Amino acid sequence: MKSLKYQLKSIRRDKLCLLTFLLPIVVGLAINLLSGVDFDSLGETSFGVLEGQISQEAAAWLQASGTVTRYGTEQALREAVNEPSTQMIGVLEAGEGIRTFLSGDELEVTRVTADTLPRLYDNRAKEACYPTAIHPASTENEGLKSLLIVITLVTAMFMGCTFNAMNIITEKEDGIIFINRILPMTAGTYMVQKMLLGFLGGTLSTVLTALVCMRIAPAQLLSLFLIVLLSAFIAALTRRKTAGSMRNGASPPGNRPWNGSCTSAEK
Amino acid sequence: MNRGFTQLLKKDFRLMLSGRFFLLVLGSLVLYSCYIHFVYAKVDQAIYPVYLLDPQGRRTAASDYITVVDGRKALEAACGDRYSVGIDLSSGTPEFYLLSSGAGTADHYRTIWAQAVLEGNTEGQAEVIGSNSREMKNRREITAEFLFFELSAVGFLGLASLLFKEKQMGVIRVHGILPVNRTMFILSKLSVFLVSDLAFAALLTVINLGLGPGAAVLPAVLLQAGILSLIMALIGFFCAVRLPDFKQFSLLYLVLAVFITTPVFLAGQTGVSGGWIDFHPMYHLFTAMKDAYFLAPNTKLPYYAACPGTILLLFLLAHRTLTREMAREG
Repeated sequence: MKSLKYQLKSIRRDKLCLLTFLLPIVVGLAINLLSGVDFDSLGETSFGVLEGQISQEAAAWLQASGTVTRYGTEQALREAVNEPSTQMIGVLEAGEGIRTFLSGDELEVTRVTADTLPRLYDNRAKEACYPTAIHPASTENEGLKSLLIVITLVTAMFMGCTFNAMNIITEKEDGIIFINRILPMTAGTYMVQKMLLGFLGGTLSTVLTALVCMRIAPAQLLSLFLIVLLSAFIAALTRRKTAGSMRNGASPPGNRPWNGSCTSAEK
Repeated sequence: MNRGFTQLLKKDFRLMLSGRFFLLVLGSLVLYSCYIHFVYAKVDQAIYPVYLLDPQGRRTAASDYITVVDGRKALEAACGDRYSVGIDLSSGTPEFYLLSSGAGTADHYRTIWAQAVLEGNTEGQAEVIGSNSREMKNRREITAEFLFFELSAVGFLGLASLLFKEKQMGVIRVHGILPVNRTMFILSKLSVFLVSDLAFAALLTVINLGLGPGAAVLPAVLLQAGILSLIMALIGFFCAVRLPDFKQFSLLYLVLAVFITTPVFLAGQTGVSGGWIDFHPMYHLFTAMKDAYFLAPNTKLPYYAACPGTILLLFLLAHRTLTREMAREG
């Protein structure tokens, strides 16, 4: 316990360690602030129409099935439809019905939607004459945002432990490795202490990030905590191994692990 | 002067060789190309599948979009992906069953789509106004993104690692007393990285777009790659000289990768535009690169005025930092 206190003291003085520990939490906060970007609209069909050219009825019908963006000129509408990063379908009124156009590089779902939309519009009078059961999904689906949260949490598990590796490297640079050789401490004890530190750091960082990013139901709490504990343990092991191999690989000739042996020349 | 510069170029090239930089670039080229050819070029999203439960065989219209299931449980299981739509005809009148996808408008469209499929109302042909196929668009899009990533993140790291190696070897201290111009010292590094980045850009483009389309976009792509390469190399140079060790630099690199390139990728992939992203300088470099791949090169004068200005400013900053560092090293 006393040695763990010293290890924590060593980390407290290493600003880089603290920065790597705090980084995932900051990213988690940034994702929460991304509420300005409406990720939900990404899963919807996007229609582009010409201002003044389309009737109120047609616009309202399109609005029920996706997002409608209005453009002032046909040129602007065609440019928006042609924009490669969007899946927009251009809709123009033609007589009683509508006609559609698209860029040709869209996904199949958009292509088929654009092809069949005029027929669907013609048959709009028949809509809702059948019973429809739309069941709410059992879990919340936030699309891209949930994906970002998962990526951040995984990063947190490993970043939280990176500070452990950073600390080992700093110790190596500061020459603490030489002091460890003459201290009454075995390499095994050192390893356990560092792993424990990485484990605690990783768990704490991930739990804090999860609290910032997710609304966790009480029933999920235990399973999530178990996943965090196990992942942080694996991450702590990995980081310990990485830092260890760096130490062995990058050390000058005299800077080997303190295993109690020395070279024959030194003897 | 020329001889000194050539010697510097040779030295930097040898250092890049010994640092296995070219091996890393070649590995990236193979990895990116394999991903584009075998995965991303084929990315597609099928139209909402429609599952039909029709035990009495009441359906009259045939459709390719319908899959018949043989029980209510199978129908509900098939719709569990929040994407498919189920139609239950067992009671005589069609009953639509679907799990909400989270967006009300998408759910509404899925319902009317299933209704149209049931009634056989799925004919029609939309007008096509673009020139790219889906596969070609995917290739252009992802090649632009990979090139941007390679130049902004990997190129930045490459020059910095080279400089850190030189710092460790004491090269900066030696250069402080040698009659070598500092401008030449920076220019030689910029030149080798610029040539390497341009070669990478050309190979990545031609391999993934094909010879014809690749050659058509190459002049515009090389111009944007040159601008990005110079800017990132100079930022890398400045950071590597300014920061005392590689550990601090790697943290900065992480921040750069997370906070600078991620929003740009999000904006590029989703088409989210306007607002805060307009003030992100990397976003403009990214859109210029993407536009070059889509044969619509950026021709805005402020952009081409800002780029050389930034490069010049970064060069002066790097020069000043190097002079200070040499003075500090004695």
